[in-house]
Amino acid sequence: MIANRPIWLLLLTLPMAVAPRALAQTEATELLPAEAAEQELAVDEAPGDPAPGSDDASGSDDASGSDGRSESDEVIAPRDAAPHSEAHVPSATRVPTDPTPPPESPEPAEPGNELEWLVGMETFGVYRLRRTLNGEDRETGHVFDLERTMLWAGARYGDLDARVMVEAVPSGDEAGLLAIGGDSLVLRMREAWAGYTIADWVRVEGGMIQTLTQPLVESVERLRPIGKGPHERFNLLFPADVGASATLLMPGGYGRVSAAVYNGESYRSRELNRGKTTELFAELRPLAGLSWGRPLVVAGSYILGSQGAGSARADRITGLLAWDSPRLRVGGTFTYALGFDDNGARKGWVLHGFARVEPFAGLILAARAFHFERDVDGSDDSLTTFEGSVGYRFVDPFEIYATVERDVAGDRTEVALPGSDLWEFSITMRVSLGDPRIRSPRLMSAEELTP
Amino acid sequence: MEEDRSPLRRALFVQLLVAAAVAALGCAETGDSRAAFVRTQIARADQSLIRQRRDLVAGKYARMARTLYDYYRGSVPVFAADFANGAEAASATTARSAPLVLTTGDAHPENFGLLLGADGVLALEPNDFDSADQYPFTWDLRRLATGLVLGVRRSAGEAPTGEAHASDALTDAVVRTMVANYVQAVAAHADGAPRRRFEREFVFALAGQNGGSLAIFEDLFSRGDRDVLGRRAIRNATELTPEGRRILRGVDPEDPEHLYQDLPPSTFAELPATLAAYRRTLLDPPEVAYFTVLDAARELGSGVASWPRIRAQVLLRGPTDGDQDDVLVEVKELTDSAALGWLLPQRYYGSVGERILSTSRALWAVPSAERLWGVSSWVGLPVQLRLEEDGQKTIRTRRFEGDRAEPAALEALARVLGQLLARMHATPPDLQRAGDGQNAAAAIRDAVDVPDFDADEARFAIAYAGRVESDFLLWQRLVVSGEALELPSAEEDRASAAQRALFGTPAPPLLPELPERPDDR
Repeated sequence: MIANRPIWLLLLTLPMAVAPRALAQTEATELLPAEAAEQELAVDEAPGDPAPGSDDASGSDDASGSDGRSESDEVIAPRDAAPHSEAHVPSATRVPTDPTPPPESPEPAEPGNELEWLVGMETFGVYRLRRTLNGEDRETGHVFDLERTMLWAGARYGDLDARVMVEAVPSGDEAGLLAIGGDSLVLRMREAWAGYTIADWVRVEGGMIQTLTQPLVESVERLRPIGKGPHERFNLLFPADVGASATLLMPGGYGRVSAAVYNGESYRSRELNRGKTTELFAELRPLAGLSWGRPLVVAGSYILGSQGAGSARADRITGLLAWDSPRLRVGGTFTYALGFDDNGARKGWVLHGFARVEPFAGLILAARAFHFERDVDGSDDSLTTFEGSVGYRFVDPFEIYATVERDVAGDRTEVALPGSDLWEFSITMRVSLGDPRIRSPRLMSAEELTP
Repeated sequence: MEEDRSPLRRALFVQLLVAAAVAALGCAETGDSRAAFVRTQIARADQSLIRQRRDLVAGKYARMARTLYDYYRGSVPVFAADFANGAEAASATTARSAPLVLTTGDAHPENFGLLLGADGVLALEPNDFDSADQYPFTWDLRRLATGLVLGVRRSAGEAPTGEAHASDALTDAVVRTMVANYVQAVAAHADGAPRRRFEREFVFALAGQNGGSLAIFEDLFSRGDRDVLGRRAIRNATELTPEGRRILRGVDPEDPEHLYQDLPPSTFAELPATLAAYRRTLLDPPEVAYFTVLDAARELGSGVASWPRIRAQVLLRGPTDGDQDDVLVEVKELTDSAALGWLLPQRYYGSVGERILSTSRALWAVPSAERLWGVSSWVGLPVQLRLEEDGQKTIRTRRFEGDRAEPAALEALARVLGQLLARMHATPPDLQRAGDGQNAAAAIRDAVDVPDFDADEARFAIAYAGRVESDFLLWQRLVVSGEALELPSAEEDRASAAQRALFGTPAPPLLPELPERPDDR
């Protein structure tokens, strides 16, 4: 990896060239006090040349962004102020390598009313080796794949912000008629929204927006590089849809309450019926008043949904309990689904637990397990998954994960989904460049939301 | 102070507005009925067509609403969803193992028929590869078993009521016969039995076992011979004019929805390039001049699932300049298969055309089972081309009448189709795309080595046929009410003038008369 370091350092400079202000602000605000102190020391000792595997490149503790978020999402300043400035070092101490003095502005701009542009990308390249256990039949397959590739560009001006995000997807997916021949990878829109914040405690968004529950689950567990979580894997929750949302931020960083209305077909499909899907969501940080207790998060949501041309019922009840700190993430979710896979009469549930630990800078240990009961009225129709992973962050935008997965299918599931009983070994390479901070504050952590 | 409170008021107002909107929009009616499920599955599969070729899809849906068997043919997306949901799953022992095999993906009885080989011999083969791909062997087995049940019930003249049928004993016997022959033939192939071509003599020998009646196959082969010799396709579909032979335009006298229209000139002009590429996909292509285009016409109202697809008849010069050996080929638009890509790498073919060529030649007993079966692209669409020959008769359940509806004839049909499906599934490892180069027949033999396999499959088929019958009644109501075609659309969905010209103008759909329901009175 040392040989590769110059390449990644070069890549590192790309977003800095594109959005130097943004990166500087990220670095200025993303550190917790103790880490900031460490960073100051590190900067003093080896300015501009972090050792491979050190945490110096960004000071970030986390690895996996969800929905286009880099680990720096963990703690990012609100738009217009430095509300927890005591927790952060000034940006000047974090960017000592840039010899160019900041350009002098003829007139100091009014805080919060400057146009900012933020662009970035994230990609997961995966190699999978899969052994399916289909009764007495054993089959092995292996494939290189692009698990995720996303590009985004955002802008912020005062209380108004917006972002466009595209992702790569095989063209043969869904109604690919008259599309590109074969299964070429093409880009499709994943997000395209504008948001406006009113009085610092109410925010509205419209367009192709992030949904409420699924992004929170992903951002808390931060395990997307090792594979889709159960909700996305089984199409129970979606990360984005076309619609509008409103969020009420609680004072003191105690959480938020949101409501949203979408088409209900997710960003992957056009609207197929006249019904709309409503999501009611609450995220609480009950110990936000205690510095040590802020990572405790409790969330719940109810989705009143409809899917497909027949407006099949697609309701979801979800609860989440987790510890959401940079070095330790542990928790679980439970989702009860009333109607899914376009079948309004079908009921099922998912129980999901996860743990993600960074015992020291760069090393990531992760485990996840979930059980999906595909049909509460049927027997042996379930899928249980166990995942274990070891990851290492060589430099901030570059991580590699080695993951082992075991899926155990019930008898009926194995009939319906051949190949669902399997062992899989995968190697994932994640690269994330840029800062996707232009986003809804409902995705910010308690740190960010603290006035 | 007033200034400070103003933003708060604004925010509160917005929150109230949002709450009201959520309350209003969140009350949208949702359905948990089977009708909603059926409608959604079919609309999802057809959504791009509904938005762009609404009139053509209306014709398809009307056809699916007219007869139960046509509904079954057009409702593969519903079957796929039911399969994935484990609906009517048979006992766990049946399918504890379901290896993927190369197959047509829709092996109901009407997707088998005669093909005229390069040697001039008619043989029974699968003749529809629109969905061909890698599937669990149980998928095809159950499509065939359910199709047989529906065919047997049709032969008995039973209306779909969703209630118990008097012929359950017969359907059970027919399905068990098919499954038993499938299992027996798979075992033989696993032990190295050759993949035989189902020519007349072999088919008759199979059908005649255990006192079976040859009625269905005698009818099939005799009509095939008659029409091949009489060049019936050319005779019925074309006419000789002073300028030469041309395809007849207008309505088919036997089917008012089946009609032929002129092709747009720009589309006609693309045909030589299409045929040149097509010729390169043939195993033993005739000379280039053979493919000189004499005439072409847009064909509408043919097929069931493929009703809205672009289809045309092209008249070719054939071996000589004389008008006695002109050749008619059918051009049909292709789409993706219904396979769900259960195993890595999940997609096994680089293009739709490659999939059709690979699967057809692997599943037939000989790769040249139909010497003009090839693929190409036409005005940007992937297309399949095949000989249009009336002698290539398809098995039709509507012909199960008289002595062809006798139990001995239906069981003979089941015996032959069970053995033919086994031969298809026993594709040699070098032709398989999934798996570890295994012997597919051996894997299936191991999988079906469970007690009461045939009884389980019969139970599934009869139960699922009941499901199809009740779905058909729901579907009729969705079509007649217009709900089946309801889909939000936008201005950009409208087809361009050039596209509309290519789509053609179908005949108005013939909607069925709904049976009266008790709650209608």
